[in-house]
Amino acid sequence: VDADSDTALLAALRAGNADAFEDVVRAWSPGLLRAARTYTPTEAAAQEAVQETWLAVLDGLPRFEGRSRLRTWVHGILANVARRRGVQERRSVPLSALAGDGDGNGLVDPGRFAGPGEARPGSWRDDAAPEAWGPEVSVLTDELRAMLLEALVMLPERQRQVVVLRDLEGLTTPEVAEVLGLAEGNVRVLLHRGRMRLRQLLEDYVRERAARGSQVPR
Amino acid sequence: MTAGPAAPGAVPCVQVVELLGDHLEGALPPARAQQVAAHLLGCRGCSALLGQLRTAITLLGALADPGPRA
Repeated sequence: VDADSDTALLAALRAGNADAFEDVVRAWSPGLLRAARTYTPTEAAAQEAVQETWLAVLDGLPRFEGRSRLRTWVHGILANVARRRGVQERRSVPLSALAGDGDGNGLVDPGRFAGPGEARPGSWRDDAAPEAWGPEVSVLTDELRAMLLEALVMLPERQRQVVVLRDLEGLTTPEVAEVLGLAEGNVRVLLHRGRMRLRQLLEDYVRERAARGSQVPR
Repeated sequence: MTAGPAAPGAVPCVQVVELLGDHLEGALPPARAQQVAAHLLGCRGCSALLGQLRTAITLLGALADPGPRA
């Protein structure tokens, strides 16, 4: 949604154009529901949060000042609604526990780098360096879709929220920071950690497929 | 081109792996950005990792497209 269409959309919504509102609800609800699932403990709570969000949007439209994109604003309302609803269920993870400590810190297996006593310490070991992937992961197959969705659910809550808003919903990093009430630097740390976990999963998948493939007699 | 960094004293791979997040977001300070760019030119492992991250990001974006899940 670029700025111009945002302006046109906002004008239509403010004029009480029911078709425009229905279109937006239809277009944005799947993404909002995806985000809501990362805030709330149950599917039912997520759906209720999205419904409450749309009511709050209708309610708040006259006061929307256009300082952020409309979609970012809606996501911000959802985050607040969900936070209020799910507050007793949430485990809050201190950000310090998620920050990098300057040592790779679980981004990849530390055993893949040469140790202090070896040649080129801190460099990839020759047999453990990442390799370029082939076409097996260039398209989102049903298998990959299922695998990634499952892995997203397993991410720590904050990482999952950031990855969903940034990479699935397409918000910018400043927008994600605004919606979640985090500093941009923290968003970048959480984003990188989340992406790196999913990358590792894909790497395992690629290796497993290669191993399986090499067992097939030719 | 080797799996490791081009020159001794350069930023080691283990640190580049951490910096790739800010690299992708365009958030590195200019001097750091240059170091990382130079490292990537000489390091097959780290440039492969960057490519993998980009693939992961593309696949995540595709997750949001209307799929079999209604």
